[in-house]
Amino acid sequence: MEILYTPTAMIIAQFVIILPIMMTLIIQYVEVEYPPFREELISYGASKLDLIKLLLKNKSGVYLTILLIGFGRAISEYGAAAIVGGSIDHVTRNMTAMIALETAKGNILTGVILGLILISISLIISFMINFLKAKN
Amino acid sequence: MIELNKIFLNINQKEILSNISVKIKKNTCFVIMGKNGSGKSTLLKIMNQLILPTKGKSIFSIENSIPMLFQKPIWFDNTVDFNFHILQKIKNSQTNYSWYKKFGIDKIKNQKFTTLSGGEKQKVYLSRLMSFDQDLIIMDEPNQSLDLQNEKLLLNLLNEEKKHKTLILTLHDFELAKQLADEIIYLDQGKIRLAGSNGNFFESFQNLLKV
Repeated sequence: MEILYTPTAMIIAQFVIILPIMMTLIIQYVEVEYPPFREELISYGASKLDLIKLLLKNKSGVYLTILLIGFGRAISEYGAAAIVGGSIDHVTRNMTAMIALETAKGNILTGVILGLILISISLIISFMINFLKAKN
Repeated sequence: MIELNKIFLNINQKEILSNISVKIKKNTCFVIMGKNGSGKSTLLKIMNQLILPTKGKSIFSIENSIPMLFQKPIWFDNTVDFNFHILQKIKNSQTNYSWYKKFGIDKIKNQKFTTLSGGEKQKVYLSRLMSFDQDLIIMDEPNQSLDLQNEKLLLNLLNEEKKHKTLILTLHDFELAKQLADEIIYLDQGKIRLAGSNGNFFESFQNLLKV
Protein backbone atom coordinates (compact mmCIF):
# COMPACT_ATOMS: atom_id res chain seq x y z
CA MET A 1 0.00 0.00 0.00
CA GLU A 2 3.01 2.26 0.48
CA ILE A 3 3.44 2.74 -3.23
CA LEU A 4 -0.15 3.90 -3.75
CA TYR A 5 -0.32 7.54 -4.97
CA THR A 6 3.31 7.46 -6.09
CA PRO A 7 4.80 7.66 -9.59
CA THR A 8 5.98 4.04 -9.12
CA ALA A 9 2.36 2.90 -8.78
CA MET A 10 1.49 4.77 -11.98
CA ILE A 11 4.37 3.15 -13.88
CA ILE A 12 3.33 -0.32 -12.67
CA ALA A 13 -0.32 0.30 -13.62
CA GLN A 14 0.60 1.51 -17.09
CA PHE A 15 3.00 -1.40 -17.56
CA VAL A 16 0.24 -3.86 -16.60
CA ILE A 17 -2.09 -2.20 -19.11
CA ILE A 18 0.30 -2.27 -22.07
CA LEU A 19 1.80 -5.70 -21.30
CA PRO A 20 -1.07 -7.84 -22.74
CA ILE A 21 -1.24 -5.71 -25.91
CA MET A 22 2.50 -5.94 -26.50
CA MET A 23 2.69 -9.62 -25.58
CA THR A 24 -0.18 -10.51 -27.94
CA LEU A 25 1.51 -8.70 -30.82
CA ILE A 26 4.93 -10.23 -30.07
CA ILE A 27 3.49 -13.76 -29.69
CA GLN A 28 1.52 -13.39 -32.93
CA TYR A 29 4.70 -12.37 -34.76
CA VAL A 30 6.93 -15.00 -33.16
CA GLU A 31 4.41 -17.83 -33.74
CA VAL A 32 4.65 -17.27 -37.49
CA GLU A 33 8.36 -16.47 -37.70
CA TYR A 34 9.85 -18.85 -35.17
CA PRO A 35 9.33 -22.42 -36.52
CA PRO A 36 11.19 -22.02 -39.85
CA PHE A 37 13.69 -19.71 -38.17
CA ARG A 38 14.44 -22.29 -35.49
CA GLU A 39 14.77 -25.13 -37.99
CA GLU A 40 17.33 -23.30 -40.09
CA LEU A 41 19.35 -21.98 -37.17
CA ILE A 42 19.49 -25.40 -35.57
CA SER A 43 21.13 -26.65 -38.76
CA TYR A 44 23.79 -24.00 -38.06
CA GLY A 45 24.25 -25.42 -34.56
CA ALA A 46 22.60 -22.49 -32.79
CA SER A 47 22.06 -22.70 -29.03
CA LYS A 48 18.85 -21.53 -27.34
CA LEU A 49 20.57 -18.27 -26.46
CA ASP A 50 21.64 -17.78 -30.10
CA LEU A 51 18.03 -18.39 -31.17
CA ILE A 52 16.70 -15.72 -28.81
CA LYS A 53 19.42 -13.21 -29.72
CA LEU A 54 18.93 -13.71 -33.45
CA LEU A 55 15.15 -13.71 -33.19
CA LEU A 56 15.41 -10.28 -31.55
CA LYS A 57 17.86 -9.08 -34.20
CA ASN A 58 15.71 -10.49 -36.98
CA LYS A 59 13.49 -7.71 -38.31
CA SER A 60 14.06 -5.59 -35.20
CA GLY A 61 11.82 -2.95 -36.78
CA VAL A 62 8.80 -5.10 -35.90
CA TYR A 63 9.70 -4.95 -32.20
CA LEU A 64 10.21 -1.19 -32.37
CA THR A 65 6.77 -0.83 -33.97
CA ILE A 66 5.25 -2.95 -31.18
CA LEU A 67 7.11 -0.78 -28.65
CA LEU A 68 5.62 2.28 -30.30
CA ILE A 69 2.11 0.82 -30.02
CA GLY A 70 2.72 0.15 -26.31
CA PHE A 71 4.07 3.66 -25.82
CA GLY A 72 1.06 5.16 -27.59
CA ARG A 73 -1.27 3.21 -25.32
CA ALA A 74 0.65 4.22 -22.16
CA ILE A 75 0.97 7.93 -22.94
CA SER A 76 -2.75 8.25 -23.66
CA GLU A 77 -3.76 6.33 -20.52
CA TYR A 78 -5.76 8.31 -17.96
CA GLY A 79 -7.98 6.07 -15.79
CA ALA A 80 -5.56 3.58 -14.24
CA ALA A 81 -2.82 6.17 -13.70
CA ALA A 82 -5.30 8.53 -11.99
CA ILE A 83 -6.71 5.76 -9.76
CA VAL A 84 -3.34 4.52 -8.43
CA GLY A 85 -1.58 7.90 -8.69
CA GLY A 86 -4.33 10.05 -7.23
CA SER A 87 -3.52 12.96 -9.61
CA ILE A 88 -1.55 14.85 -6.92
CA ASP A 89 -0.28 18.20 -8.20
CA HIS A 90 3.44 18.16 -9.05
CA VAL A 91 3.73 14.54 -7.90
CA THR A 92 1.48 12.14 -9.77
CA ARG A 93 -0.48 14.38 -12.11
CA ASN A 94 0.38 13.34 -15.61
CA MET A 95 -0.49 15.13 -18.85
CA THR A 96 -3.72 13.23 -19.49
CA ALA A 97 -4.93 13.85 -15.92
CA MET A 98 -4.12 17.52 -16.27
CA ILE A 99 -5.97 17.76 -19.61
CA ALA A 100 -9.04 16.11 -18.02
CA LEU A 101 -8.84 18.43 -14.99
CA GLU A 102 -8.41 21.66 -16.99
CA THR A 103 -11.25 20.69 -19.36
CA ALA A 104 -13.51 19.89 -16.38
CA LYS A 105 -12.73 23.33 -14.91
CA GLY A 106 -13.80 24.92 -18.18
CA ASN A 107 -10.27 25.92 -19.23
CA ILE A 108 -10.77 24.47 -22.70
CA LEU A 109 -7.88 26.43 -24.24
CA THR A 110 -5.40 25.14 -21.63
CA GLY A 111 -6.73 21.63 -22.22
CA VAL A 112 -6.27 21.95 -25.96
CA ILE A 113 -2.72 23.38 -25.57
CA LEU A 114 -1.78 20.53 -23.22
CA GLY A 115 -3.29 18.08 -25.69
CA LEU A 116 -1.18 19.56 -28.48
CA ILE A 117 1.96 19.29 -26.32
CA LEU A 118 1.12 15.64 -25.62
CA ILE A 119 0.60 14.94 -29.32
CA SER A 120 3.91 16.70 -30.11
CA ILE A 121 5.80 14.60 -27.57
CA SER A 122 4.20 11.47 -28.98
CA LEU A 123 5.09 12.50 -32.54
CA ILE A 124 8.70 13.34 -31.62
CA ILE A 125 9.19 9.95 -29.95
CA SER A 126 7.49 8.17 -32.85
CA PHE A 127 9.74 10.06 -35.27
CA MET A 128 12.83 9.14 -33.24
CA ILE A 129 11.91 5.44 -33.18
CA ASN A 130 11.24 5.45 -36.93
CA PHE A 131 14.57 7.20 -37.48
CA LEU A 132 16.24 4.48 -35.39
CA LYS A 133 14.46 1.82 -37.50
CA ALA A 134 15.67 3.40 -40.72
CA LYS A 135 19.20 3.77 -39.35
CA ASN A 136 19.23 0.09 -38.32
CA MET B 1 27.51 -41.29 -46.56
CA ILE B 2 23.78 -41.32 -45.86
CA GLU B 3 21.57 -44.37 -45.92
CA LEU B 4 17.83 -44.34 -45.42
CA ASN B 5 16.08 -47.66 -45.19
CA LYS B 6 12.28 -47.92 -45.48
CA ILE B 7 11.64 -44.46 -44.06
CA PHE B 8 8.07 -43.39 -43.27
CA LEU B 9 6.96 -39.99 -42.04
CA ASN B 10 3.48 -39.14 -40.81
CA ILE B 11 2.49 -35.69 -39.66
CA ASN B 12 -0.95 -35.25 -38.07
CA GLN B 13 -1.88 -38.75 -39.30
CA LYS B 14 -1.10 -37.71 -42.86
CA GLU B 15 1.48 -39.75 -44.70
CA ILE B 16 4.15 -37.34 -45.95
CA LEU B 17 6.79 -39.87 -46.93
CA SER B 18 6.37 -43.56 -47.48
CA ASN B 19 8.86 -46.40 -47.83
CA ILE B 20 11.85 -44.28 -48.83
CA SER B 21 15.11 -46.16 -49.25
CA VAL B 22 18.16 -44.39 -50.61
CA LYS B 23 21.90 -44.66 -50.33
CA ILE B 24 24.04 -41.61 -50.97
CA LYS B 25 27.69 -42.32 -51.61
CA LYS B 26 30.55 -39.97 -50.83
CA ASN B 27 31.53 -37.44 -53.51
CA THR B 28 28.45 -37.97 -55.63
CA CYS B 29 25.58 -35.66 -56.56
CA PHE B 30 22.20 -36.93 -55.45
CA VAL B 31 19.19 -35.11 -56.89
CA ILE B 32 15.61 -35.29 -55.63
CA MET B 33 12.97 -34.31 -58.15
CA GLY B 34 9.19 -34.25 -58.05
CA LYS B 35 6.11 -32.07 -58.16
CA ASN B 36 5.27 -29.40 -55.57
CA GLY B 37 4.22 -31.00 -52.31
CA SER B 38 5.69 -34.38 -53.18
CA GLY B 39 7.89 -34.36 -50.07
CA LYS B 40 11.24 -33.25 -51.53
CA SER B 41 12.06 -30.61 -48.91
CA THR B 42 10.90 -32.87 -46.08
CA LEU B 43 13.13 -35.67 -47.31
CA LEU B 44 16.02 -33.22 -47.51
CA LYS B 45 15.43 -32.26 -43.87
CA ILE B 46 15.37 -35.94 -42.86
CA MET B 47 18.69 -36.38 -44.66
CA ASN B 48 20.03 -33.44 -42.64
CA GLN B 49 18.70 -34.91 -39.37
CA LEU B 50 16.37 -31.96 -38.82
CA ILE B 51 13.28 -34.16 -38.90
CA LEU B 52 13.06 -37.57 -37.28
CA PRO B 53 11.16 -40.12 -39.37
CA THR B 54 8.17 -41.92 -37.85
CA LYS B 55 9.49 -45.31 -38.93
CA GLY B 56 12.57 -46.71 -40.61
CA LYS B 57 16.29 -46.95 -40.22
CA SER B 58 18.77 -44.24 -41.07
CA ILE B 59 22.56 -44.17 -41.01
CA PHE B 60 24.52 -40.92 -41.16
CA SER B 61 28.28 -40.55 -41.40
CA ILE B 62 28.09 -37.21 -39.58
CA GLU B 63 26.64 -36.80 -36.11
CA ASN B 64 24.64 -33.57 -36.29
CA SER B 65 22.74 -31.56 -38.82
CA ILE B 66 24.77 -29.14 -40.94
CA PRO B 67 24.00 -25.75 -42.50
CA MET B 68 21.84 -26.24 -45.58
CA LEU B 69 20.08 -24.05 -48.13
CA PHE B 70 16.39 -23.79 -47.32
CA GLN B 71 13.71 -22.86 -49.82
CA LYS B 72 12.95 -19.70 -47.85
CA PRO B 73 16.17 -18.94 -46.00
CA ILE B 74 16.18 -16.56 -43.05
CA TRP B 75 17.19 -12.97 -43.61
CA PHE B 76 17.68 -9.94 -41.41
CA ASP B 77 16.48 -6.40 -41.99
CA ASN B 78 20.02 -5.14 -42.47
CA THR B 79 22.77 -4.93 -45.08
CA VAL B 80 23.84 -7.72 -47.43
CA ASP B 81 27.15 -7.96 -45.57
CA PHE B 82 25.36 -8.36 -42.24
CA ASN B 83 23.17 -11.12 -43.71
CA PHE B 84 26.22 -12.87 -45.12
CA HIS B 85 28.25 -12.82 -41.89
CA ILE B 86 25.64 -13.16 -39.14
CA LEU B 87 25.36 -16.96 -39.29
CA GLN B 88 29.15 -17.34 -39.33
CA LYS B 89 29.11 -16.04 -35.77
CA ILE B 90 27.13 -19.07 -34.60
CA LYS B 91 29.44 -21.63 -36.15
CA ASN B 92 32.55 -19.61 -35.41
CA SER B 93 34.15 -21.12 -38.48
CA GLN B 94 36.48 -19.73 -41.10
CA THR B 95 34.72 -17.91 -43.93
CA ASN B 96 35.16 -19.19 -47.46
CA TYR B 97 34.69 -16.25 -49.82
CA SER B 98 34.99 -18.10 -53.14
CA TRP B 99 31.25 -18.16 -54.06
CA TYR B 100 30.86 -14.67 -52.55
CA LYS B 101 33.43 -13.34 -55.04
CA LYS B 102 32.18 -15.37 -57.99
CA PHE B 103 28.59 -14.19 -57.50
CA GLY B 104 29.82 -10.58 -57.12
CA ILE B 105 28.37 -10.11 -53.64
CA ASP B 106 31.20 -7.69 -52.78
CA LYS B 107 29.63 -5.18 -55.23
CA ILE B 108 26.33 -5.14 -53.34
CA LYS B 109 27.58 -5.82 -49.80
CA ASN B 110 26.57 -2.41 -48.42
CA GLN B 111 23.07 -2.44 -49.90
CA LYS B 112 20.03 -3.03 -47.74
CA PHE B 113 18.98 -6.65 -48.10
CA THR B 114 15.34 -5.70 -48.67
CA THR B 115 16.26 -3.70 -51.79
CA LEU B 116 17.70 -6.76 -53.58
CA SER B 117 15.87 -8.68 -56.28
CA GLY B 118 14.88 -12.32 -55.74
CA GLY B 119 17.84 -13.54 -57.79
CA GLU B 120 20.33 -11.34 -55.92
CA LYS B 121 18.97 -12.58 -52.60
CA GLN B 122 19.37 -16.17 -53.79
CA LYS B 123 23.01 -15.46 -54.68
CA VAL B 124 23.59 -14.15 -51.15
CA TYR B 125 21.94 -17.25 -49.65
CA LEU B 126 24.05 -19.55 -51.85
CA SER B 127 27.28 -17.69 -51.03
CA ARG B 128 26.38 -17.65 -47.34
CA LEU B 129 25.92 -21.40 -47.27
CA MET B 130 29.10 -22.02 -49.24
CA SER B 131 31.06 -19.77 -46.88
CA PHE B 132 30.93 -22.77 -44.56
CA ASP B 133 33.52 -25.15 -45.90
CA GLN B 134 31.60 -28.41 -45.69
CA ASP B 135 32.11 -31.81 -47.26
CA LEU B 136 28.36 -32.32 -47.58
CA ILE B 137 26.27 -29.70 -49.36
CA ILE B 138 22.49 -29.81 -49.04
CA MET B 139 20.45 -27.37 -51.12
CA ASP B 140 16.72 -27.02 -51.62
CA GLU B 141 16.07 -25.61 -55.10
CA PRO B 142 19.40 -23.77 -55.42
CA ASN B 143 18.57 -22.27 -58.83
CA GLN B 144 15.29 -20.63 -57.85
CA SER B 145 14.96 -17.00 -59.04
CA LEU B 146 18.31 -17.09 -60.84
CA ASP B 147 18.60 -15.81 -64.41
CA LEU B 148 20.14 -17.99 -67.13
CA GLN B 149 23.61 -16.50 -66.76
CA ASN B 150 23.72 -17.04 -63.01
CA GLU B 151 22.15 -20.47 -63.36
CA LYS B 152 25.02 -21.40 -65.66
CA LEU B 153 27.50 -20.03 -63.13
CA LEU B 154 25.79 -22.05 -60.39
CA LEU B 155 26.01 -25.17 -62.54
CA ASN B 156 29.75 -24.64 -63.07
CA LEU B 157 30.34 -23.98 -59.38
CA LEU B 158 28.38 -27.06 -58.32
CA ASN B 159 30.19 -29.21 -60.87
CA GLU B 160 33.46 -27.95 -59.42
CA GLU B 161 32.33 -28.74 -55.85
CA LYS B 162 31.12 -32.15 -56.94
CA LYS B 163 34.69 -33.29 -57.59
CA HIS B 164 35.55 -33.46 -53.90
CA LYS B 165 32.23 -33.04 -52.07
CA THR B 166 28.89 -34.79 -51.70
CA LEU B 167 25.90 -32.85 -53.00
CA ILE B 168 22.24 -33.43 -52.20
CA LEU B 169 19.91 -31.17 -54.14
CA THR B 170 16.23 -30.82 -54.88
CA LEU B 171 15.59 -29.53 -58.39
CA HIS B 172 12.70 -28.88 -60.73
CA ASP B 173 14.91 -28.27 -63.72
CA PHE B 174 15.47 -31.50 -65.67
CA GLU B 175 18.27 -29.98 -67.77
CA LEU B 176 20.18 -28.94 -64.65
CA ALA B 177 19.63 -32.36 -63.08
CA LYS B 178 20.94 -34.02 -66.26
CA GLN B 179 24.13 -31.98 -66.08
CA LEU B 180 24.74 -32.45 -62.35
CA ALA B 181 23.30 -35.64 -60.97
CA ASP B 182 24.93 -38.99 -60.50
CA GLU B 183 21.82 -40.46 -58.87
CA ILE B 184 18.26 -39.17 -59.17
CA ILE B 185 15.00 -40.05 -57.49
CA TYR B 186 11.57 -38.80 -58.54
CA LEU B 187 9.07 -38.37 -55.72
CA ASP B 188 5.33 -38.51 -56.18
CA GLN B 189 2.97 -38.13 -53.21
CA GLY B 190 5.74 -39.04 -50.79
CA LYS B 191 6.81 -42.19 -52.60
CA ILE B 192 9.77 -42.86 -54.86
CA ARG B 193 8.24 -43.24 -58.28
CA LEU B 194 11.49 -43.59 -60.15
CA ALA B 195 15.14 -43.91 -59.18
CA GLY B 196 18.34 -44.47 -61.05
CA SER B 197 21.68 -43.19 -62.18
CA ASN B 198 21.72 -40.18 -64.50
CA GLY B 199 21.52 -41.93 -67.88
CA ASN B 200 18.97 -44.62 -67.15
CA PHE B 201 16.79 -42.33 -65.01
CA PHE B 202 15.93 -40.03 -67.89
CA GLU B 203 15.38 -42.96 -70.23
CA SER B 204 12.96 -44.53 -67.74
CA PHE B 205 11.32 -41.17 -67.16
CA GLN B 206 10.58 -40.79 -70.87
CA ASN B 207 8.99 -44.23 -70.84
CA LEU B 208 7.00 -43.33 -67.73
CA LEU B 209 5.67 -40.24 -69.45
CA LYS B 210 4.60 -42.31 -72.46
CA VAL B 211 2.67 -44.68 -70.16
